[in-house]
This record gives sequence, structure tokens and C-alpha cells, in this order.
Amino acid sequence: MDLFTVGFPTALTLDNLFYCFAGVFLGTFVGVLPGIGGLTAVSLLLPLSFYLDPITALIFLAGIYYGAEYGGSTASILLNLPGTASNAVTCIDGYPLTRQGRAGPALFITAIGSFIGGTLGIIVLIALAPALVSLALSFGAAEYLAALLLGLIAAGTIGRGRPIKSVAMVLVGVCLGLVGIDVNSGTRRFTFGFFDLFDGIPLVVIAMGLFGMAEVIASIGTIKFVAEARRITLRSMIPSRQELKDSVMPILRGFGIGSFFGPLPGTGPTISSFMAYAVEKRVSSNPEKFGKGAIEGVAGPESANNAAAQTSFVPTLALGIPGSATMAILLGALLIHGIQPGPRLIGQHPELFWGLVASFWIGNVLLLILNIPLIGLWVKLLQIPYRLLYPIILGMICIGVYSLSNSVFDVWLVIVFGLIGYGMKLLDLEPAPLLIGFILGPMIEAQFRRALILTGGDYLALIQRPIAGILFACCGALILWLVYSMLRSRERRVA
Amino acid sequence: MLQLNHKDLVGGVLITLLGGFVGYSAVGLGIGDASRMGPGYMLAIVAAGMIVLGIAMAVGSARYQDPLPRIAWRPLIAVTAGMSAFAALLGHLGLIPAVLLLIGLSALGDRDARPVSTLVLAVSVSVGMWVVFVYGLRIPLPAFALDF
Repeated sequence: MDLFTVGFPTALTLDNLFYCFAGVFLGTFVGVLPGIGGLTAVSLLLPLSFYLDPITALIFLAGIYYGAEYGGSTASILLNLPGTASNAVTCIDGYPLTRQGRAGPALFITAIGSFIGGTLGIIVLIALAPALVSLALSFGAAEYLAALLLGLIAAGTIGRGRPIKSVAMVLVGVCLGLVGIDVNSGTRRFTFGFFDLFDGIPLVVIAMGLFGMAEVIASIGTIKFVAEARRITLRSMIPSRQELKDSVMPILRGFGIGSFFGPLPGTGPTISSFMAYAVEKRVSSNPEKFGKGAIEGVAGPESANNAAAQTSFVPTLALGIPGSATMAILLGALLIHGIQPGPRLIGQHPELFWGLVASFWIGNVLLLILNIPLIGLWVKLLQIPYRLLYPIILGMICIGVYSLSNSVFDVWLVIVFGLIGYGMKLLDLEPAPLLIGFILGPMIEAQFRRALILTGGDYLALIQRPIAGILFACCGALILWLVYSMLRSRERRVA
Repeated sequence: MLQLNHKDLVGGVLITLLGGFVGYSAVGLGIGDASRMGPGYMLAIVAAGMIVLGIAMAVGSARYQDPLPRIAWRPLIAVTAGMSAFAALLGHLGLIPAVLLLIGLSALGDRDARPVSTLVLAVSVSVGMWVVFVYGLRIPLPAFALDF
């Protein structure tokens, strides 16, 4: 078992343990605060991780990501404000529970559900990732191209808005990803004479602009915390026997839903939590309870989004294809550390994969402690006004970006992307698909070029390879589904 | 009915224009052919997609209402001014004055900002940043400078 011979010894070194704790702590922190999600936090702290070992950096950043999934439910339940997008559905039944004085048990069930969903999700990750790797090792350029293309098209489905807009954003992202010197010909593309753009636009700059600065501008004045000092004691958190009994099956079903949607590109925690809620409402013997404080409506989605958060590492670590924008940033972190993501990652860096997986378990245990005995701390945190918080976020953005290459050019670029991002927000154009396009664009170009050189420019020969053919067929099916849903949503709007 | 005050019309037109610019540049960069792709080959494909989707968005927008939201001018200007001040002055005045200006200006974005709490915040954040990034992580930046 590599997990025990390589994984835990790696994860249990003092450094890694400390950064695992720091990650899940910060993740819970930003998850609790509405207006900063896991994605913003991961991009904000990415520059700090450059100073760490690659393994430690990954453990740290991943901790922030799944920590935010835990913390996000606190604000949903107590204030009816989702801490992160994937906790939005928790508001529906969580907040009514608070108004009925059952906030304590709701938070308790959430923490337990998150823990069970998360830890079982890790088992799925362990089972699935190596299996996918052995398949992926036989991949040539054509198969890679097809798999990357599948990720790119799936990115068009992650938006909450209309798919046509997400797909357009993916394409804009690809263009941004291709800025800089073309490795093949040495031609400069869209550098506009700026020497600093020869190596392309740094990922951190795009993420900080679109998710950091733009988010801050949009949040100022709109986030008003309800300054209700609610005391949540440990005693008040103990759920009744009935509440426990009602939560068991939703948690298990939530895990199933989360670990199905988690590894699929483009879906992830948010869609999983909404699916889990819908399923719970359908299987319930008294669906009229939902929306009025049904504990099942909290337990299912929270288990699902944590299972999805863990299993979304499957394509990222096994294939090097990010299923979500946060995963794209984690891949970017690997690249910055000089580690090439892809199917060879687990074989070449077993300590990285198994150490990370082991740290997930440690992190989930830490999160359970952070979210049950220490819940009072987070409730207090909700009383910090945003006007004191956002200048600190901006300070972190500026200095973090400056430290990338010790140049203010990158800070100016962040300002440009921040303004673009705010404009996109006004137009309801989502930045997450753009970021995936930005990451996958250059990879796709490289594989596309290689695949077509091998076939002598023959497109049909790409499809004739069996695995590539199947993957291309999946791409085609996904495009058809996208077109279908575009047409259907248009009809609905007209009607 | 053509409605100018419409998110998807504005978005669609902008994406189409961007696609047009990328496509034009791609031709200039050299497209090549499938077996020997030039630097513009992939860009040309992407540009074509952007133009098609942009036009589809703009045309489709005629069927429903989706008015533009109001721009939050105060936060927008305050945050942009604060970050620009940081970028412009970091090299000339040093880290602490640049962060003081960044916090001071951007805090004006919220109507409820109070002078005293803003000052306390600005001072503590700038000192904190110096401790973490310059003292801790050894980023080569002076705390104060006067260099024009």
C-alpha cells in the first residue's frame, strides 16, 4: 500500500502537517466569509506557495480548497448568505433551521456530513485515479487532444448562466492563454511590444484580476453582515436521535452523487450539491418539509459537495486535465514548480500523489475539529465588517502579484484584468470557464500540432484511433447536448 | 425589437469584435496548413468560434429582456485608484507608503468608511505586509524610499 509506505510518512512531516493545518484553517476562514470563495483564496495565496516545496505547496493549496467547502455552510445556515457557490443550496433548509433555534444541530450534521462525504470521496479518488492512469499511459497526441478538448467543452457547461456565454468565455480564455512567444515558430503573439508579455500572461495575474479585484469591487457595499451575536455552544449542537436518523441516508446518497459528478469535468461541487438536494426532495416521504427546515436538505448537499471536492482531483492528478477553475490553479502551481501534470505524475512523483491523498485524510479530521468544537470562533468571524476586510485582500493581491517576478508590470496587468472582470460581471459573463480555457489552450495547441504532424494533416486519421475516437465522440455528444440546451433555454425564455 | 440596454447584446458585440481582431491578427501571424500549423492556425479556429457565438448571442438577445445593471462607480474608482497608486509609487516611495495609499484610497470605496479606523487599518496592514513579505519572505523591497 503506497498510501501507508509513502503517503502518510510524507504527509506527517512537521512542515506538511503545519501547512495542511494552515490550509484547512485559512480555507474555513475564507469559506465562512461571504464574498471570498475557495477559488479567490487559492489564487490569493498561490504566490505564497512558491516559497514551499511542491508537495507542501499542493497540500496547502488543496487544504484551502476543501476547507472552504466546509466553512461555506456556516454563513449559509446562520445568515442565509452562501459562503461559496456550492453552499448556496444549504441556505434553503439551513436558515429555516436557524430560525427555529436548531442552528447548532444543523451545523453539527453539516460538519459530520462533510466529513463522511469527504473521507469516502478520498477512497473513490484512490481507486479511480490509478486506474485512469493505466489507461492514459497508452495515450498518444491524438488521445490527449481529444481528452483536453473534452475538458474544454465541458468547461462550457460549468457556468450557471447560458452555455453559449460560457463557451464564448472558454474561447476568450484560449486566446489569452496563447499570448506570448509561440514555442514552435518564435513568433510573438499579442505582446503589443511589451517585453514582459513574451512569456505569456501569468496565471496568477488572470486569477487575481478576475476573481480577486473584480469580486472586491462587486462586493463592496453589497455584503452587509447581520450583526446578530448568536452563541453556539457545544451542548446546543447535539442533534436529536430523530435528526441523526434522518441524516444517515441523505449523507450516503450525497456521497454517491458527489463522487459521481466530482470527477466529471465541468460539474464539481456546486452541481453535485444541487443534484443532491433535488434527489433528497424527491425520495423524501414528506417533501413539503423541504424549504421549511428539513435536516435532509442540509445533510445531503453538504456531503455531496465535499465528496465532489475530493473526487474532482481524479482528472487533475491522473490526466493533468482540470475539471474546474480551482483545479486549473492547482495545476498551474505544479507547473510553476516545474512538475509536468499528466498520467506520468503518479508514477514519477508517488510521494506527491500519495502524500496529498494522505493529507486529505488528515485535513478532514482537522476540519472536523475546527468545525465542531471551534464553531464559536467562526461565528464571531462573521461579525467582521467587509469594509475592514477588503482593503486587506487588495493589499494581498498587490504584494502577492508583485512578488511573482518583482515587477509592477504584473500589478498593472491585474488592474487591467480586474476592470475587464468587473465588466464581465456586469454582462453576466463568467470568469471560471475563461480560466479553464486559459490553462487548456496552450496544451491543446501543442497536442493539436503534434497530432496533425503525425497524421500528415489528416483530420480523419485522428478519429480512427479507438480511444481517441471514443473521446471525440464524447466531445461531439457534449456539443450536441450544449446546442440542445441552448435552444431549449431560449424557448423557455420566450415562453 | 432592438434593445441597446441589454447584457447579451453588448456582450455578443464585444465578443464578435474581439473575435474579429484575433482572426485578423491570426492571418497576419501566418496560418499555415494542418500538417504544418503556423502561429495563427489555432487562433483562427478560436476566432471563428468567437465570431459565430458572439453573433448568436447578439441576435438571440432580441428575444428577451436583460437590462444592464448599474455600475458601482464609487467602489470601482476607489479600488482602481488605490491599486494604481500602489503600482505607480511602489518603486519610488517604498512598500509602506504604497500600501498606506492603497488601503487609504480603496477604503473610500465603502460609504461607511471612517477616517480613524481606516488609518489604523492602513498602518497595521502596511507594517504587517512588510513583516511577512520583506522580513519573512525576503522580497527585495525597501520599507521607505525616495527615488524619482
